[in-house]
Amino acid sequence: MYKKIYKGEFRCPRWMSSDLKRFLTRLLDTNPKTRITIDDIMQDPWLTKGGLQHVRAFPRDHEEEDISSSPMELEPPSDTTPALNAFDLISFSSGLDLSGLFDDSYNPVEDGELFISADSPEKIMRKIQDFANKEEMRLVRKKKEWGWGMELQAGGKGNLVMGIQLNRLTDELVVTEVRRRGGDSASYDDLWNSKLRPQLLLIDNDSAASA
Amino acid sequence: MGCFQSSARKQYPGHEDPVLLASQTAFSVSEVEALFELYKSISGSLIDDGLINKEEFQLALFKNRKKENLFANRIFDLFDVKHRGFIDFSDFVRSLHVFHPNASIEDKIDFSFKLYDLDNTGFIERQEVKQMLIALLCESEMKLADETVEIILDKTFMDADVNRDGKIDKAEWLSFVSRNPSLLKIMTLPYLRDITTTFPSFVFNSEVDEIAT
Repeated sequence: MYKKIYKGEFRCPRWMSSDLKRFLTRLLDTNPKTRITIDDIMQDPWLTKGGLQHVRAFPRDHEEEDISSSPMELEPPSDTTPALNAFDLISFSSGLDLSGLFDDSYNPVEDGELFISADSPEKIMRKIQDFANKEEMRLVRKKKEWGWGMELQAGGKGNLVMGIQLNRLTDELVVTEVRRRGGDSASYDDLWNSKLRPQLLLIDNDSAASA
Repeated sequence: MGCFQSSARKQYPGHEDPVLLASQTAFSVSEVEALFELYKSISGSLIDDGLINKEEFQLALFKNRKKENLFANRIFDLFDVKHRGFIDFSDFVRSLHVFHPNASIEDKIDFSFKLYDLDNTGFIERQEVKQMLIALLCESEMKLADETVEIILDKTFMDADVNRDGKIDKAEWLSFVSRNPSLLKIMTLPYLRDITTTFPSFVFNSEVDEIAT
């Protein structure tokens, strides 16, 4: 089967409309220069005929669901949200992230950061929301079993996607993980290291150490 | 199938028949072949001996051959099933199998227990958890007061160490993970589902008939 894929050999069943057959032929073109582009896909007659208004082009994380993509509701902290245990914290280690084996461009050390702060989760999320508005990025809440998850998405900046996860560590401390989930490292680096990070790390780790 | 194997087997010690490997793991034959493409690139990155040594593993994970990490070391040691200081293709596939989304939960729980049992005593001792916590804090350049570390450890052991002997045995780990399933998220790599798309060049080097795939 894989050899047929490589050669671009396929047959369409009779029940397929001619619009669909044409669309598939444009998609399955083995020559990347003549193959249909994303923009063309969004305008293809077969897709748009049914009234499909908008096709999402953002990469998605397998396990998470979007909750809201409008201005983020800042929920009051749930008292039942359990804090991280030692193994949850250990799980954040870049040495336990084998993604780098499969993705040449991924570097768990550079493409993610973990930090602790004594800020409340609401304060951190507010700063992120302000940042999103200023940089014209979309902020999407993600469903998580506990803690707070979200994604910053910027179609304009090369489809950059930044995943942010907040979890309570102790009564006073919150752990935040920021990770590049889409787009290139340079845009991520620019947005995170030069712009967002300085704002979120206003309280440095030393004061967290005395909390 | 016999004569196709010999060239791969000579250059790649431990290269098993893809059909055999597929039958004993969650991977299809095509996925095993795609994994072989990945294996070739990692194992040949520093020394072209058809085996993955520690530095090649570190290079593949961190893009830095010299980067040492407690947890990556543990993973390497567990992948090095026969304790020879290197990983062959069979070790590679059989170990990665545990990370497949379709692998059994038991296998994942088993692997994670061994992972955290740093000195292989069959127990995860409090001292080991402390060592791992400190390693994590160090690598992320985070600072926590020693008191806070102890509080986190206390809470964790209160939850996990049911018989209060200061260490977590296999049964306690099983129970703990069932109550905290997110602890197993590190044991699944969604990448493994799309491995044939990530390494499509296996099609050229396929040793297997169409029928078998």
